[in-house]
Amino acid sequence: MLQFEKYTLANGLKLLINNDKSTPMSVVNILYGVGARDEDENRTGFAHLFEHLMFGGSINIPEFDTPLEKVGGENNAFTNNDYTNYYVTLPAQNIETALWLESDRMLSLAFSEKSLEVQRKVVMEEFKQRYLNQPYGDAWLHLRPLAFKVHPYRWATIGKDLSHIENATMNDVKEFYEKWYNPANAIMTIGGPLDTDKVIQLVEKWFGDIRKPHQAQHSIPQEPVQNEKRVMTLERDVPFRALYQAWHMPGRMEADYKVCDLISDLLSNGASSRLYQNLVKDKNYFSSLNGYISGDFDPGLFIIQGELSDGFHFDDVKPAIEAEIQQIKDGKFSDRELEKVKNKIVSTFEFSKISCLNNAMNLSLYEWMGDAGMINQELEKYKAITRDDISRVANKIFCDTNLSELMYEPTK
Amino acid sequence: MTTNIINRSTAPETGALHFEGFPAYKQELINNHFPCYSVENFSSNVVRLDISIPSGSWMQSKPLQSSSMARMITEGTKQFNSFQIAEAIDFSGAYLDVSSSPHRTILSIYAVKDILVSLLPLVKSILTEPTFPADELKTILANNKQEFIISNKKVMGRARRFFPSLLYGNRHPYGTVIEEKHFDALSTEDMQSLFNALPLSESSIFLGGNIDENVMEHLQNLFSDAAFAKSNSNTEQNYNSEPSSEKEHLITVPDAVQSALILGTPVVGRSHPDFPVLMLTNTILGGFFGSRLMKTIREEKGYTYGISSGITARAQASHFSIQTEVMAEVTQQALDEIFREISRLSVAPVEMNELDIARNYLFGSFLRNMDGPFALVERLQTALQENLDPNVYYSSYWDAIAAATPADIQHMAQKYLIPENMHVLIVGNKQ
Repeated sequence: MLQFEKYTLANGLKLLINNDKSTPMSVVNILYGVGARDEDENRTGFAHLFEHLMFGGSINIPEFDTPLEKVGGENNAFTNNDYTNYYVTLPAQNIETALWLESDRMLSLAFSEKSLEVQRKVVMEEFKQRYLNQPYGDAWLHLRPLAFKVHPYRWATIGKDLSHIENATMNDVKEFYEKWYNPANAIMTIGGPLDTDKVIQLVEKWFGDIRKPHQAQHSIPQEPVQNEKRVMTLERDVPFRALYQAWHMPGRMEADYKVCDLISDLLSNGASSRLYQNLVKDKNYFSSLNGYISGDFDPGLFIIQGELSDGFHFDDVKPAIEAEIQQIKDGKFSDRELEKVKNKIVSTFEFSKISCLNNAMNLSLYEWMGDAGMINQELEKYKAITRDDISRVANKIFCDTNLSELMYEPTK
Repeated sequence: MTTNIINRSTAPETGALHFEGFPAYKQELINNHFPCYSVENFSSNVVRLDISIPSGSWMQSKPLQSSSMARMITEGTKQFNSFQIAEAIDFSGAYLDVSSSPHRTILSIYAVKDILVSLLPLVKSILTEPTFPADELKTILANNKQEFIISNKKVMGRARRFFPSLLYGNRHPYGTVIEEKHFDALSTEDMQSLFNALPLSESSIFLGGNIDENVMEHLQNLFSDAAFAKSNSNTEQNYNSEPSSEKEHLITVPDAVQSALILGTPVVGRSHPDFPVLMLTNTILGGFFGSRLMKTIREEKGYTYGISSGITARAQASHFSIQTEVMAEVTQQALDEIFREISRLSVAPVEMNELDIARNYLFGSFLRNMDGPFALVERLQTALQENLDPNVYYSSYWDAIAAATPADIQHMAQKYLIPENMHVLIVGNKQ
C-alpha cells in the first residue's frame, strides 16, 4: 500500500501528500495536464518548448533554479504526449522554498524575449542531439506518422520538425500558458518526512490566492481503426538493419492495457524472456530485440524493436517474430512463465516504492488519470489476468492490418 | 484561507544544511575472514547484496577481458545453464548484475527480502564454478560488438571512448581505446584464466535494506566453500600514464550536425586533501545547472542542449573533464568560450554569493547521495575501495567544503585547471 492524503484547494489545485519518514529529503511534484497531444498540428513541439520556458523566470522571481540550488535543492521536468511534469527534491526543512518558486510560476511567468530566443536554440540542439545526430535517431519521427493518421500521437514531443520550434512567437507562448497553466489543471504531490497540517497550511499560503479560470478542454481527435498493413523503409547511414513493428493497443484506462503489458513482459522482460532467449541468443537473428508498450493515455502502441545481426535480412527474421507472437496467441506458455511475469510486476512495484520521488510522480499521474487510489489496486488487477485474457488480446491486436512496420536499410 | 498578503519577491526563511556524520552501519567478519558491512533499513521490503572482489581491467592481459568475464560468469555454471540462471532470477522478481571496473568486479543482487537467501546457492555456483560456454561467449561478443559499433557512430560515444587515451595512453588500463577487433580476440580460455586469478579470498560483502536475520547464516555457508580460499595468483602490474603530446585531437565526422567536445586534465583523487575544494571548484565551473559553463554555453549562447564537467576519481589516477555536444557551426566559438570560463576561475575570485549557491547545491546533492540504504551501501564501497574510513572521509569532505573561501577556489583553479594543460578532443566538424 502506498499511503497518501488528498486535499483540494478552493481554486481547484489538487494536493496529494505522501508522508515518508524514511528520508530526510522532500519532493514537490507538479503535473500539468497538457502534453504534445494538445498541440495544434501547425505548432508542434510547443508543450515541450514551453517546459523550457518555465525555467526562464516568473513574475516576481528572476530565476527559478538559483534560489533552489542555494537551499540544496535540485529540479527537472519532462514533457510527454499526455502531460508535463515538474519535480523538485530538497532537504525537508527547506520545502517552503520550492512552494514559493512553484507558486510564482503558476501565478505568472516573466515572458522574457531573451529566454524564448535562447530556449528555442537549446531545444533545436536537443532535437539534433536526440533525433538527427545518432544512428536510428529519427525512427520515431517516422514511425509515429506511419501508425497514427489522425491522433496527435502522430508527432513526437519534440515536434514534427525544427521549423515549428523556430517559428514559435511570444504570443503563442502567452496563449498556451493562459490556456493550460492554472491551478485547476495541476496536480501537486508532496512527499517526505512532513506534517500534513503544516504542508496544507504552506500550500494554502503560497497557492491559495492564485485565481485563474480553467476552461481548457482537451479536444483530441481519436484514431480510426487501421485496416491495412503499413510499411516504410528508410535508407540511412546506419551500421546494421533495424526493424520497428508497431501495433495499435488499448489506452491506459482500458482493462486490456495491462494484458498488453504482461504480453510485453512474456516476450521481453528479463534475460529469460522469449524474444531474448529464442531470437537473440539461440538463433542470433538480432543483436538486441525488445517488446514494450508506449504507455500512452489514449490508445497507443505495442512495439517490437531490434537491430538485426550482421548478415541477416528482414525476410530471414520476420517469420521468427511472427512465430513467437503465434505462441502467445495460442496460449503456449507455461503456468510458471505467467507466474514469473506477475512476480516481476510485484517486485517492480516494491522497488519503485523505495523512491519518494517515484511515489510522488506516480500519485500525481494516477490522480490525473482519474484517482490516485487506483495505484493501490494495480497489483490485484495484474494478478487476475488469465491465459485466456492474454490469448484473446494477442489475437485481437497482432494482425497485419493493425501493423505499422519501419525498416532501416544501411546505405553503405 | 489566506488572510495575509504574501511577499512573493522575497525567499522564505530557510534552514542551514547539516551533515550529522555517516549513518551507523554494522561491520563484522563472516567466517572470521570476510568483511561484511550492512546498512539496515526496515522502511521498505527490499534488500541489496554486493559481493565485491578486487580484480578488474587493471589485471587483464587483453582489452575487454575483465568486463567480458564479468558478463559471462552468469552464462553457465557446472550446475546451471544460462537459461536456468536467468529464469531463476526473473521468477524471483530479482535483479542480478555483475559489473567490472578497473579495480573491482562486483556481483549485485536486488530482491524482495525473503527471496534473497533462496538465491544464494545460485550465487555460490556463479562465483565458484562458472563454465564460460563457448557458444554463449560467441553470441554475447557478437552482440556486444554490434552495440559497440552503433554506439561508436554517435559523436559522444566515440569521444568518450577515445578521450582517456589522450591523458593516460592506450597502454594504460584507464586509457585503452576499445576497437572492433578486440571483440574477436577473446576465447573461453581468456575467461577461465582471468577467473582463476580472481582473488575470491579478498571479497568484501555489503548488505543494505530490509536484511533478513537469517542472511548471515546463509552467507557463512556460502563463503565456507573452498573456492573462496583462493587468493590472488597474479602479481599486480604497474602502469604509468603516457599522455599524448598533441594537445588538440580532431576526429572528423563529415555529416555531423553537432560536434562532441571533451576537454580534460589529470587532477588529484579522493585521498588528497585538495579533493573536496577541487570538487567545489568543478561544481562552480560545470557541475550543475547553475554552473558557469551551463550559463554561458547553453543559457547565454544557446550552443548546446547541455554541458557539464566532472572528476573521474580512481585509485591510481584521476582526471577532470568537461563534455558537451555543440552545434557544428560553432565548434570553435564554443571551445573559445569554454577556455575563457576555465581561465576566468584562475584570474579572479568568485563572488561569495556564487560560491554559496554552488556549495549548497553540492551539500544538497551530497545529502541526496546519502539517502536510503542502497545509496549508503554505494558510499561505503566508494570510500573503502580507496582505504578511506567512511566516518572520517565524508565528514572531512563536508567540513572542507563548508570552510572553502573564494581565495581557495581561485587557488584550486590555478593549481589544477590550467588551460595550457587541457587536452582537447573534437569528434564532429570543425570548420
